[in-house]
Amino acid sequence: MPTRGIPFPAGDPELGPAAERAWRRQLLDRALHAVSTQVSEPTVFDGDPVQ
Amino acid sequence: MRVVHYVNQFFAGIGGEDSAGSGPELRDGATGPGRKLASLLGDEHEIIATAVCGDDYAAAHAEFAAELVSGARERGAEMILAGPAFTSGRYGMACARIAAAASEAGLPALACMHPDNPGLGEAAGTTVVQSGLTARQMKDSLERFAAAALKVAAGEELTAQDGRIGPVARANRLADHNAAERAVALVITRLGGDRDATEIPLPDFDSVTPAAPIDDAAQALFALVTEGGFVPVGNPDRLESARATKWVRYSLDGLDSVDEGAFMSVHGGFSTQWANADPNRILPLDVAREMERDGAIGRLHGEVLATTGNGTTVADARRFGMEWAAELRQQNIQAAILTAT
Amino acid sequence: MQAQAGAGLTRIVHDVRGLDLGERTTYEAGRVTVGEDSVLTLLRDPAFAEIRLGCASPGDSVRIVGVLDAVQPCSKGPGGGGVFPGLLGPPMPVGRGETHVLRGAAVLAAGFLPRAQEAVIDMSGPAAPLSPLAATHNLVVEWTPAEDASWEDVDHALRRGLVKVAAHLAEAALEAEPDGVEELSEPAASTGNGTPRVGVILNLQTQGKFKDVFVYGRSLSGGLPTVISPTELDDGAVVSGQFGHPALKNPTYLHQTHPVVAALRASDELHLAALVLCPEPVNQADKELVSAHAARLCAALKLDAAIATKEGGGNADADVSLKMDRLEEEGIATVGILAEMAGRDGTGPPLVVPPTKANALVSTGNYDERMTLPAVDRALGRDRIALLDQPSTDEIELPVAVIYCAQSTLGWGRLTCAEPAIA
Repeated sequence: MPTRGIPFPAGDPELGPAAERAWRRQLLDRALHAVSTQVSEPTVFDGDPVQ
Repeated sequence: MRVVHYVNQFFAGIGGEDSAGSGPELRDGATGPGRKLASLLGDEHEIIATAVCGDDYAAAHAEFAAELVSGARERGAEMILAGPAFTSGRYGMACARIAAAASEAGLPALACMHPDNPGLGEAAGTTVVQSGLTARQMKDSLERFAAAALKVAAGEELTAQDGRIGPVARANRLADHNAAERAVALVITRLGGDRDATEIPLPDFDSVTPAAPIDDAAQALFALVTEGGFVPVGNPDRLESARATKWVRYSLDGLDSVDEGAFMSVHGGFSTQWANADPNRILPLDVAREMERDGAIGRLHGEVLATTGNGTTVADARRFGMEWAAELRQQNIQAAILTAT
Repeated sequence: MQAQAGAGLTRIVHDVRGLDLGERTTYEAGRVTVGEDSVLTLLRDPAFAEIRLGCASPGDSVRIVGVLDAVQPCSKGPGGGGVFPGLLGPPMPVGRGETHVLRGAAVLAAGFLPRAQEAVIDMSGPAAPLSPLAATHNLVVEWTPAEDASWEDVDHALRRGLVKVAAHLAEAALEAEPDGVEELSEPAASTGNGTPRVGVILNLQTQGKFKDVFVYGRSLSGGLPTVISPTELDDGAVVSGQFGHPALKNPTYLHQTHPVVAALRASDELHLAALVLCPEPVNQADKELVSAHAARLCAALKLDAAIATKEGGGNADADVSLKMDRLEEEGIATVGILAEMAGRDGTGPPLVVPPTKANALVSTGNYDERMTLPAVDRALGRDRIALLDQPSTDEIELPVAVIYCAQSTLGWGRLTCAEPAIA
C-alpha cells in the first residue's frame, strides 16, 4: 500500500487533525481488504476497496 | 595436514555469556566439537591445537584473528577451520574473521555457519560452508564441515553442492572471445532452450508464498508491527537508529492511542518530527482501536513488535521476520499490519 | 556472409599499419601521413587558442590521458561525401553506396572538459589489451581553449573537428587499392529460411551537456525508440558527446564498428534484423515507457531475440534490465551486456538494477577492481592525472573504471568477471 511519505506511513501532516484521522482509517480499511484478498505475487493495493 | 580449529568460549567449555569477554588463546589438541571433527577428518589430518576466544572479546577486538593465526602458524598449522557457529552472530563473525585472516596469510581456511548468521557478511576473501540452525544439528553440520575441509585441503574448489555459502569474490580476467561474440553465442544458447545460461548470476531473491487471505476480518486477531524505530520516550531498550541488530516489544494494553510524549521514533533515516508530534503516524493505534470497537476487526494483539529499518543487513532483517512470524503464530494472530518507513 | 538482395553498403577497407605527421596528407601502402597544416586548418575554430597534434601507435610507451571521443576515418567522397550526417554531411539517411574506411586508425581528442571523467589509454603494458584505442594508430588532438570560449563551444568545436579530420584522412585513400571489400546488407523484412531474427538494442545516453549522444546531429533526449539500418552506423549516423564513465564509454569509433553488429553479421546461424536506438532517460517512469515501447517495436519487427547494451553507470543498468524484462514478456529471448560494479574485492552485488524476468547476461568485468599500470615514456592529453594528482607518466594504480572503453557494453573487449577457482 503506497502511503504519502516515508516519515509518516500512517498519516499526512498536511491535513488537519480530523482529515488526517479519516485518511488513516481509509488506509487501515484498505489494509483489511488487502489481507482478505488472495494474492500470488507482490501486489500493490493503491485503490480503495470496492464495497 | 596440521590443522588448528577455532571455537568460542562456550564450545571450548570455558563458560557461557559470563565468559564471553575472555581473550584469545591456543590450547593443545582438539577440544569440544573439534574431537568429532578430528575423527571425521581421518588419519591424514590432525587437529594440533584449538584456538579459542570469547565472543564479546572477538567482536570488540578485530585483531584477535591475526594474533591467533600467527600463533597457529608458529605451531606449524597448515590449515585453519572455524566453527560451526550456527546462527550465533558474534561467534559467526569471529569464525569469518579467523578464516579471512588465515586466507589473507595464505593458509587454506574454512569457516562453518548457518546462511542467516550475520557474521557471513565478514567472510569476504575466504570460504564458508553451511551449518545447521542450532547445535542440535551438530552432527550433520560437522559431517558437512569435514567433507568440505577435506576438499579444501586437497586444493579443490567448493561449490554450492558442498554447502558453500557467503560472499564469493569475482575477479576480472580475459575471455577467449569478445563480449559481442559471447552475447551472440548466448543468444544461440537461449534460442536452443537453455534458460539458465548467464555470465552474471543474479541475486537469489527470496520467494515467499503469500499466506492465505483471512476469511472474516471481524473475527480475526490483528497485530501492529513496524520498522519505524517506534519506542517509548527514552528508548529504554536502546533500539538502534540504524543498522539494527535487534527488535523490541511493548505492551499496548490499556492504550487507546500512542501519544506525543509517551512514544517516539528513533529512526535515523528521516526526520522524526512528524512521528514524534503524533506517534499514531508511525503506529496507527488510534484508528485500530476504533476499528476494534466498531467491530471491523476482531481483536488487536496486546503488543507491538518494532525495529528500525535503516541500513539493516538482509540477514538481520530476515532473522527479525522469522522471529516475528513465529511469535505472532504462537499468539494465534491471523493478520499483521506493518508500517514501513 | 551471404549478400541479401536489396539495398546495402559496400565497405571498402584500407588497413593502416602506421601513422605519422608530415607535410601533406597521404595514404600509401598502409601508412597514413597526416598533413599537419591541413589538419590544423580543419580544426581551426574560435573556441581554440591553440591546437596540438600527437601520434600514438600500438606498443608505444605512451599514455593518453583525458580521452574524450575517438573516430574511425571514413569517407564516401570528397569532403566526406555524406558521412557523419547532421554534423559533417547533410542530415539525410546514410548507409548505402560505398564508404572507404581506414581500419586500424583513429582520431582522438584528449584534454580537459568539465563533467568529463578522466579516461586513460595505455598503448602498451597490462591495460593495452583492454582498450580498442590501444589497438589503433592514433592521431591525438590536444587544445588550449580560447579565453572567451564557453566549454560548450569547445565541445562543439571538438566534435565537428574530429569528424572533419576523420573524413579528411580517409579521403586520402579514395583512390588506393583496397585491402578488402565488404558487402553489408540492410536487414531483410523477413528471413524466409527460418534463421532467427535478432535485433540490437542500442541505448544511448541522454543526460544533458557532455553526457549526450547525437543521431543525425540530434539528441534522442525526450524521444521514443527508433529503428535504423545498421549500415547507417557504419556511415557515422551516431556520434558520441558523452564523457562520463570512461570504461563504459561507447565512443563514435565503437558505434562505427559496433562489435555486436559485426558479430551478428559474421554469424551463419542468426540474422541481424534490426537496430533499435533508445534514449536513456533520467527518471524511472520514462525508462519504463521507453523500455515498453522498445519491446513493442521489436515485436512488430517479428524478432526472435535481441541483444541489449547500455552507456553510463549504475542507473543505466535499469535501461538494459527493464528492456530485457519487457522483451521477454513479448516472447523475445534477450541477452544483456553489462559491466559489474562488485566493489574493490569483487564480493558486492554486481548489478545496480538486475533484470527480474530475464537472466541471460554477458559481463564486461568488474568496474571497481584495481590495476597497476607501469610508468611510460611520454603522455598525451594531460600532463597530470588529476584523479591521482600524479604526473601522467608515473606508475599508477587505478580502478578498471578509468581505462577507456575497457568495459564498453558494445562488446569490443574480452574483459569479463568470474569466480576464481580456489587455489
